Amino acid sequence: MGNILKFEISDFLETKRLLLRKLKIEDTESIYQWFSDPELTRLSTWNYHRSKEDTRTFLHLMIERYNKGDLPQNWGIVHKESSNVIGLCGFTDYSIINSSATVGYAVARNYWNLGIATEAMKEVLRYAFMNLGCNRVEANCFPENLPSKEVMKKLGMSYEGLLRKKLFVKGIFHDIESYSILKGEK
Amino acid sequence: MERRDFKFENLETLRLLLRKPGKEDAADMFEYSSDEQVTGFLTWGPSKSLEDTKTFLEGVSRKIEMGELFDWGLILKKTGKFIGTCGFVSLDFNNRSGEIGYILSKKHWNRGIMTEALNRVIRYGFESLGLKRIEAKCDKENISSERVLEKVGMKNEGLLRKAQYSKNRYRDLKIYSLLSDEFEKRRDSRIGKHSKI
Repeated sequence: MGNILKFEISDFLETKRLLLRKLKIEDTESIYQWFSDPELTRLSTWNYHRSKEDTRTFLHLMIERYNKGDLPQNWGIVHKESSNVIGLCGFTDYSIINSSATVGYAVARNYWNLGIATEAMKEVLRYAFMNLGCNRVEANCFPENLPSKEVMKKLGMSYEGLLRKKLFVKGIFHDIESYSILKGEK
Repeated sequence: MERRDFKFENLETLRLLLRKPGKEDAADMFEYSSDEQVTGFLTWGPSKSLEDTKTFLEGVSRKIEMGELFDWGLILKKTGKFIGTCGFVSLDFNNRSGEIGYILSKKHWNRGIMTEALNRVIRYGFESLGLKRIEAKCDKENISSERVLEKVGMKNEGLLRKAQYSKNRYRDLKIYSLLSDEFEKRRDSRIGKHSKI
C-alpha cells in the first residue's frame, strides 16, 4: 500500500438515500441476512457466510482494521428508509506515493437495480478525490460480473484492460477486468 | 505457498552469470545507476553517491538472504563486469503471480542482453517458483523496455492511466503479462527447433 503509516476511513458519509458508516459488531444480524447468499459472492473474491459466526469473525476483522489502519476498509451501506445495512463499500488499496486507490463494493441482491451501489460509490469516489487527494481510482471485477461492470460504467470509469489469470480464488485462476477514473473525469 | 519454500539460485545464460548482488558491486552499479537516462523511467535514481549505492545493495542482498526478494545481478562473462540487475520486484504466492523489473547499463543496450537475462528469470519464475502469471509494467514512453517485453513473449493487456507518480509527474503504465502455458508453448517450440538442427 505504498508507505503510509495508518489508513482510516471517515466515520460517516451521507447521500440521498444512504448512510455510509463504519461497521459495528451489532451489524451481524443484518449483514448475515445477505452475506449468506452464495449467489451474491459467486462473482466476487469473497466467500459467503455459512453462519452468523462467520459474519461476526468478518466484522471483528473489519473493525480491527479501522484501529490498525490496515486495508481493505469498508463502510457499511445503511439504507435510511429501513435502517438496515444492505451492503459494503470502501477501499481495498491506497497508495499515497501514487495518489491512487482501489475501491470495491457489494450490495444485497434484493436491493439490486435500484442504483444503490452507484449512489454509494459516487460518494466514495468523491471522498477519494477530495479527502484522500487521489488522482486515480481503480476498480476490478471478474469479466462475468455484469452488474458490477454496469456500476463502473455509470460511475464514469473507463475500461483499461484484462489482466489474465490475475487472481487465484476458490480454486480457480480468474481473469480480472480493470477500470479507472481520474480526477476531473465525469 | 510460502516464499521460504524457495531458495535463491544463481543462474546462467550464454553470455551472462546471474547471481546475488552485494555491496562489492557498488562501483559497477553506480556507473549506470547514476545515469539519468538509464534511471529515467524508474521510480528511483539517479543515484547520488557510491555510498547510497552500497547501502542499497546491502539491503537487496539482505532481502534475498531472507527469501523476501528474487533479484539477480547480471555479470557479463567475457569481462566479469556487473552490468545490471533483473528479477521479481514483487511476488504474490497466493495468486502465484510475480512482477519483473530490470535495469541495464547503457553501454550494453541493443545487444539482446536483457532479453537473454529475462528469458532465464522468467523460466525460473515458472519452473522453480511455480508461478502461473508473470507481469511487467513499463512507462508508455519507454519504447526500449516495451521491445524487451515483446521479445520475451509478453502480451500487452492494457494501459493503466496515471498509475504511477515518479519524478514529478503521473505516468501511464503499459501492463504486460506472460502465462505459464504460453511460456511452455514457447519453450517447447524452441526445443523443437533445436532438435531439428
